[in-house]
Amino acid sequence: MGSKIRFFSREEKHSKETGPKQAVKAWVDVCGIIGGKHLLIQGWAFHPGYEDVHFNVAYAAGDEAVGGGKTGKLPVDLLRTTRQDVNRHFSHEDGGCWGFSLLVDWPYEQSPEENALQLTAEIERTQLLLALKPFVELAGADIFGHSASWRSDERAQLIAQLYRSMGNGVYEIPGLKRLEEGQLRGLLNWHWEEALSIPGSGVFLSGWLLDGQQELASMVLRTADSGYSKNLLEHSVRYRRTDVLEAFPGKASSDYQAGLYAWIPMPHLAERAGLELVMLTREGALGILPVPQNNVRDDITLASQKMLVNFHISDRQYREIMRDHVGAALSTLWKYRRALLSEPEGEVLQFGPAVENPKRSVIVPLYGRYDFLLHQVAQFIGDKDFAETELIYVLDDPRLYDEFIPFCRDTSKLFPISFKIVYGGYNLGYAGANNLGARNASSKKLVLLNSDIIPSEPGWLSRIEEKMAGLENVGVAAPKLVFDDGTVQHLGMAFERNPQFGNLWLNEHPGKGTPEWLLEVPAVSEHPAVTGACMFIDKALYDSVGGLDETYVFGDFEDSDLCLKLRRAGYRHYVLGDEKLYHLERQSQNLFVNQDWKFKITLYNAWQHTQRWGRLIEQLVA
Amino acid sequence: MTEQRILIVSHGHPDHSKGGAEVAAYNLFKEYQRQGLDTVFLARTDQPSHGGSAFSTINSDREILFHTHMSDFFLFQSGYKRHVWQDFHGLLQRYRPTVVHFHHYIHMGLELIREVKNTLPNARIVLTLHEYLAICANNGQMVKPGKQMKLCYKSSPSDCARCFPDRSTADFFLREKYIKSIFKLVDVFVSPSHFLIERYKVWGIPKEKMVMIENGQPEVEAPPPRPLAEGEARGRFAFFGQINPYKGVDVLLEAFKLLPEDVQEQVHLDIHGANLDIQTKEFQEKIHGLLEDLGDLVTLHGSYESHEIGRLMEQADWVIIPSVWWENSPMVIQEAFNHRRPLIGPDIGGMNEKINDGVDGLLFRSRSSMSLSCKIAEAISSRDYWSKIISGINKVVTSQECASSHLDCVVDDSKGFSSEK
Repeated sequence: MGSKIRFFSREEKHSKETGPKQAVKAWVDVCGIIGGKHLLIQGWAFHPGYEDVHFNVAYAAGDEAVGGGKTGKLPVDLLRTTRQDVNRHFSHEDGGCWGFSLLVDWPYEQSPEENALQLTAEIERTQLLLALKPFVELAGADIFGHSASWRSDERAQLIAQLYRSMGNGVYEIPGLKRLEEGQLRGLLNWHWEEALSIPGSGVFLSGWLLDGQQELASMVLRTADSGYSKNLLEHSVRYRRTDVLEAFPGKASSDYQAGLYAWIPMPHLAERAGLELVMLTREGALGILPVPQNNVRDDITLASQKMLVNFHISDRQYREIMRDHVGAALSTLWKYRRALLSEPEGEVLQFGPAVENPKRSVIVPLYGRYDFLLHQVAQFIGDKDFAETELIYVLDDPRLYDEFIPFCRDTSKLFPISFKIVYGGYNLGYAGANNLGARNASSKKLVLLNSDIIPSEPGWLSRIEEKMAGLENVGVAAPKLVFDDGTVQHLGMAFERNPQFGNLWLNEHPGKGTPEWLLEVPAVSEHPAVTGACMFIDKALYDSVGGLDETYVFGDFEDSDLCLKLRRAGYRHYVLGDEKLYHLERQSQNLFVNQDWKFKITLYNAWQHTQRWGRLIEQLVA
Repeated sequence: MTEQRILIVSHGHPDHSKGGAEVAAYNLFKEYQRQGLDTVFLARTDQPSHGGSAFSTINSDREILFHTHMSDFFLFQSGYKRHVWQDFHGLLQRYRPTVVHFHHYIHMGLELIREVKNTLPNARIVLTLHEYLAICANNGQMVKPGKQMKLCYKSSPSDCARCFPDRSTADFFLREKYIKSIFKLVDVFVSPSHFLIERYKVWGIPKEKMVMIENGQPEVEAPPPRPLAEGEARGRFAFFGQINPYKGVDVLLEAFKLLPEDVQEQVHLDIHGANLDIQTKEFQEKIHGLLEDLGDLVTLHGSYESHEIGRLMEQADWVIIPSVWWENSPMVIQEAFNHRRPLIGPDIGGMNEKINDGVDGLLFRSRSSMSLSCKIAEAISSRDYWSKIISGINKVVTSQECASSHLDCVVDDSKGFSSEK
């Protein structure tokens, strides 16, 4: 916002010894009051060493009427202003900011009488008492001094002072000059692509703002009930928009960042809040533009995309941007959706006779494609363990429901194996789907299984459980997973920082894609985390840490998050290298058309994960 | 033995379509019937049924038509699974076959095999493999898609995914796993060629579950050699079968084009082939172009009825099977031998197995018109040569022998074929 305002300490008594001793000539033009609360005393003080002129506003002694008989000085915000008329009057050639503007917060209901206060100009221990004028309400352009010679940065400084003093009241100073949209566009340009609103939380604004001449002093979003955002010129993310610069040649320098997006917290945002964007120019003129409010609904995929589209991990400030804007917006969005959707229905359909007192519950979320159920069932049917297994498929994709239920019926008729379908009514995400499955599980042991896992031989469930029984402090156990060509997909997870991605901790699968014989594969090995593609865990333990965390978006990092929660509680995680299942990784997840967006979702999840677990991970990898 | 009830399942009825597999299945059924066995022939049809029922009958109440279809040719999924778990299930429950012999699963769905195991866990399940459908998603041909139609020697999920860019390696992995999960339920696999057995062995079916039984032929009186005019060579060649890119008619025609003029003067080719009209425009144009070039040298006869085969064979000296894919045991080879006519075929797959080069026929380098052209010239080189080859032709397996082999090896489980239950 241009140059900083100079503050003069009231304690500052010493002055420069240089310069001729000369009495200060001074005059008060206006004694104004704005909104009954803020006094504005403006005038001029001519002195070659004008920068050393101090102004003091104090209660006039003995006046009981106002101020309750207070004595002493009042805090003053001083601003030096250009006064061409004073220059002319004293035939002074060189520039000099003879003008002064004193802003005084007035804490009383009643306006002061001019004789209640006393203004002195002081330089080199000489003081000049200035005569005040009767205080009158100021409005509009009158706040910018008696003469019209204020420079625009001086006006901007006064606005900044007023903002500091009166907050958003500055936008409500009566009589400020109003600019119509057309007039405003003569100075600068803009376009808002989206004002995604999350009622009760805030607005995600995105678009561009082309203000190459820095005409704006501030820009805020406000609601009809006078809820104001922070100054978006300071609290937003700016980025290059060459298309904008090309569309408006010569309006800004080539490195100007026209792109703008911001998460704007507005905790009291109503569904129809009457959003307006208020632009205050450095000249003190107001532009007020209505902003169409686009409230998000429960389908938030598009909204998430919009929040992420302009985020770039290569931005040096990405951590702050993630924290203040993108991450804040996304987590609010997902929380809002969860609240909006209420508890999942948990519709349960049993196919085949229910397994009595099952030894374990296998939970498989289905998203995007459901033919995996057929492939798994075709393999499970030859495995005696499944006679004692509660097999739970969680349909996490409402789009599939209509086709899926008849498919399940046919499949269960042809493949006589018992399974049940749990359907939440909407897309819960990987964690939510598993948690819903776990809530519907009736055994003490859980196996979280991806739909694209195919066993290599029967009996794996009971064998792994048997091996688990001999392990100490076991949190999660997982088998070795291999790709369809037999190369390793998972042998435990490791954490690694990646400088290419903002130094966030990422989950790595060491040895991935390597032929097994090239790796050391012990029968049992301990790891800081194991994959969620196939997890064996006691239900009580799972429940004790609240299951999988549902704040990660679209299935990522929940597995390591769960492992770290358990690790913090003292449990250990193991990979059983002698047990092999096939994992056709990402077959169920490559449905995102927009790969860039998916990548950014991953970054968001990684950022969240790092925020939460960075410290523990550092200890674990040390 | 007499207590056996044998359900034969075929993907078509020969009254509707005359494919080798349908004919072989039906012949077996008729032979069982002739022997007084309790048997039912269930043939899939695409024709609408009365009142939308799943079944109707044809010829007799032992020949049942199954009005069903498949929706997914990648995983051989039934297009209407209720037909399987309700209608087919009902048929199984009522008839209670002791043996269910599938001559195919295509057009019906692999689930039929699953359903037999579900409904009648002790019934013996027999599956005759006619081509490489389980191994290869390119119509079971083991020929790579694309103009070159390269021969494929071995499948793997990643290789197959390269043939079908729309599918992933994982899709093929799952396909193989799924088909094998069903094939596991089969007690005996029958194949009319060792070549096919070897391919399925490499793919993963235990060799001991597979048995080679050649397709049976009706007993016919072999027609006498075609009477020759004075100085005429044994130069009458015939092609029998479909005209499609896999059958190599283009290779055959090109071979005739390459013949030296003096040989051309002594030969003639009769093409008894159907379905050229349903091929791609490009392929049709190619064949028509070649036919035009060859003029009187070739006669295109169109399709024939199976009872005509004897008369057509009678007019031929040699039968040529120029297939550019592996084949299994092409019916035309057995038919030609049954009518004592020598074969000229490529040196691959089923042809290589069934034709003994220089003994009962001639082998040429697969897909090489030049090589075939040389063999044609060789074939007419002398009348004695023809007589020598004719004398090398062995008696073919009869329908009766074929049925007996089936009964011995397939139906009677005392012969050591045990299922993995």
